[in-house]
Amino acid sequence: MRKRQKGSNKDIFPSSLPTLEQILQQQNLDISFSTYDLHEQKVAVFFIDYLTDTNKAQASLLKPLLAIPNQLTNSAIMNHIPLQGGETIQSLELIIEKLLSGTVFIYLENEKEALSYKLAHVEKRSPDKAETESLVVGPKIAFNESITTNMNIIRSRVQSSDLIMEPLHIGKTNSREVRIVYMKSIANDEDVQTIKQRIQDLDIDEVEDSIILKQYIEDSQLSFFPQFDSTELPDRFTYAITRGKVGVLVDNSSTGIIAPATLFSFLQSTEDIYMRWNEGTIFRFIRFIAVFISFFLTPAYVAIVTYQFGIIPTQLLISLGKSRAAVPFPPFLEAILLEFLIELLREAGARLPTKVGQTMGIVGGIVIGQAAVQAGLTSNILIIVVAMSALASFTSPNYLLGTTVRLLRFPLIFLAGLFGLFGIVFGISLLVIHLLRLKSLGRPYLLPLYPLKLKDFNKSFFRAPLPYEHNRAISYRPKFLFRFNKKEAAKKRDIDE
Amino acid sequence: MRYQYICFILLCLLFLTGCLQSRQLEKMGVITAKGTDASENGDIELSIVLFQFEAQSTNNTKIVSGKGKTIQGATQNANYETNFELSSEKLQLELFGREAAERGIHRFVDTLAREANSPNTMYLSLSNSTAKEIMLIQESGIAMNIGQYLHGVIDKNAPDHLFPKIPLSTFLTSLYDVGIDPILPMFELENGIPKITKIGIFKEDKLVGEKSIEDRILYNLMHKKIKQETLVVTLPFSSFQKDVHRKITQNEENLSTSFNILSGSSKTRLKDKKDLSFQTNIKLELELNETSHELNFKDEQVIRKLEQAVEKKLASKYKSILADLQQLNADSFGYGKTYRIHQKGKKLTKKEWHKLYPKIKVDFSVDANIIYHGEID
Repeated sequence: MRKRQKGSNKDIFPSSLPTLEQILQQQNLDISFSTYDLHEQKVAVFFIDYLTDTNKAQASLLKPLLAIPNQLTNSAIMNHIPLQGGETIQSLELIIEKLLSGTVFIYLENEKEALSYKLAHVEKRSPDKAETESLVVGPKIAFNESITTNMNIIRSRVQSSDLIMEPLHIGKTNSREVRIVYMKSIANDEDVQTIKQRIQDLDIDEVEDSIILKQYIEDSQLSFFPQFDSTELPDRFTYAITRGKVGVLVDNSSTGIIAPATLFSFLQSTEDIYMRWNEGTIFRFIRFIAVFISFFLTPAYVAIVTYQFGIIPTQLLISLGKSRAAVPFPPFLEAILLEFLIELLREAGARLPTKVGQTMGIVGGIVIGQAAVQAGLTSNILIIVVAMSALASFTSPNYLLGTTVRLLRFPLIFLAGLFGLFGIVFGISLLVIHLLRLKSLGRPYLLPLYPLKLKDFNKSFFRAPLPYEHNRAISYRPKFLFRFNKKEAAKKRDIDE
Repeated sequence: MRYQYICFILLCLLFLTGCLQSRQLEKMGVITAKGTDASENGDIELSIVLFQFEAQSTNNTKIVSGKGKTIQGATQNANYETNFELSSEKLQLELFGREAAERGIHRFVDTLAREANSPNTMYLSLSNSTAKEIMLIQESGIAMNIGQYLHGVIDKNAPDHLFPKIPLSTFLTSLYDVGIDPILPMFELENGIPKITKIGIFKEDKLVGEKSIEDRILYNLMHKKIKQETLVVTLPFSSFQKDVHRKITQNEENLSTSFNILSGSSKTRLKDKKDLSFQTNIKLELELNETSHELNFKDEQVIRKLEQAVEKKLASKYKSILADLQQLNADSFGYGKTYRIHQKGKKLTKKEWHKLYPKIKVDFSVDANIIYHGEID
């Protein structure tokens, strides 16, 4: 925002209405300025009409104002107007700031101060179905871009005075409201303090969205891995909050941030809990396997076909050899080519309008894939391998982790093409070292695997039957572990008891 | 400085890739089986069955052969016959010709064991004539790769790592162990199709004799617990004459029976060290599947009688096999291992044991139990 001229901060009141209008119109802010004659007094009402709820202004402000029977004073007006939050304001600086947030001003000529009522009108959509993280079973509502709506949804899901939504402001030139959401009696104080400190210490001009704020306050900004969870699902958000994590909401952003997170928390979906425990556990496992496949399958193909073909069964070797025979490129180039094609399709599909995107998917997947095999550019087994790993990368409930895994595949393919399986082992070792060192809000990223917390396995790897989830995960060190008494919860009471 | 260093390494990775020797699958001749024969003037003749993948051809199998003084030399010689680089990473079967086996296969096996690329799990086997003869059957009879075919024949005939499944590692242990001599399955062409017909008996690394494949179970019983195997025993009919329930066949001399071994095991102990006498107890739990005559199984006595007949028959079979083995001086049953345990102070050498072995006496006692015999009502 541009700097205002010096001296504008001094009081402009009292002044006559034409001078006031002139001063205001100099600001180039599309101020609508109207004057009225009432009981031989001149009154001005001014506001920015596209930021103001004009209907409400008409009905609740202008109408009562014009109907005041006696002499006008500021206090008389305040008494007659049936709106809350009337304030008197003197400085031009404040007036302009308030105007920009949708405030209506009433000024009596030659008074020392102007009256203000906040009648802001914010364009927003109503809460909609989730777009990026969709659930089959469970609530469908998603956050939208209005922080008040989001807070409303959270409050209605967690009706407890324990839920704190601490307001902060961030951005020096373009200030934005940020809320730190946590359960006072459960969340670890250190976590709350750390995240608050990190947001307060940010000395930046503006934050466009919560996903950008997330990148600013994450532990390692150079890492490939997302260290804070982000979600557009209120149920995922409140589930984490009630388990002792800390959430962050940013105004004008439809994504909530959850911290701390572990690698495994990205692979958990609230759907696991909505399903029965056995299905939930199996689906969770499928997701773990999928990440592994997505990461490992194409590099393994490259390594095996280039160097270590001794480790695959003879039958598979024959079909692999037959399909490879016609391909003129080395396996490394073949794999990179096809992976690039898949990434191209994904990127094109994401940018195009939905309907065109679907057609693109079909064209890309079937036509190009088939043609590539027939033209002898790739082997058909690689098509299966690449398609499978692409598919597997989309099973991650968090889109950001899926992207990470997809991109990390490329260096691994590179290493596999260079050194075979040794390259893959080398790459995975490097990755494990990185993951071991990575932290999320100061807590290890590989919890509960490292450091080993066996008690938390049923909350991260498995999904235990609900009576067994009577404690919160100790990994995040909540202040209060106990949730309910397992024995009491499992007891079945007779109808006459 | 650090970034320059990293960039340098990355550039090296990028530009030096071409210098690495890759072993791309489609450029390799993947050997599945190798036949080794002794040729004239001490040469080795190799017949190599391999997969090679060509875009223009539908047939992936090729057989090449080469001669040389050493295995390496012969392989190199064979490689002149194909435009693919030979690789033994998928070698599944090594077939030795009869003559080569009689001269001793230690040097061949040793080479196989030394070669890091070739798997230890490959099976070893013998050919009754030359290995080449069996390898070249490809052109006439069997549609699939002959190496895979022979591998399949061995694989499907042995559950739980029993004979005739003798991987390289098992052969090497019995070759180097004092007090046991190896055995290998022997293929023979029958109507132009290779078939396992015999057990090749080795004394150390030399083929000295052979036994019928029918006795396979007797060998397996001596080494491991066996389960779910078929045992066929032919008994004299005379003693069962009275127990015939209903007459089926005309053959009045023999009673052929077939059992399923539910579990079978053996235990050998040294009875007297000076006397070199051993006791071998064999325990069998049997399920009667088939008899050539229908016997009256309602009578408990008939079953006991059948059990006793089987016990007697098996014990006498073991005795005659052992006598043959002693004549060949090949300790396929591994009595030397039992003897070795009781050798205190000094180590038993192969030479010493082969001097003692023909003198050993073994008492075989078989305990057969027929648990099921099926309903005949």
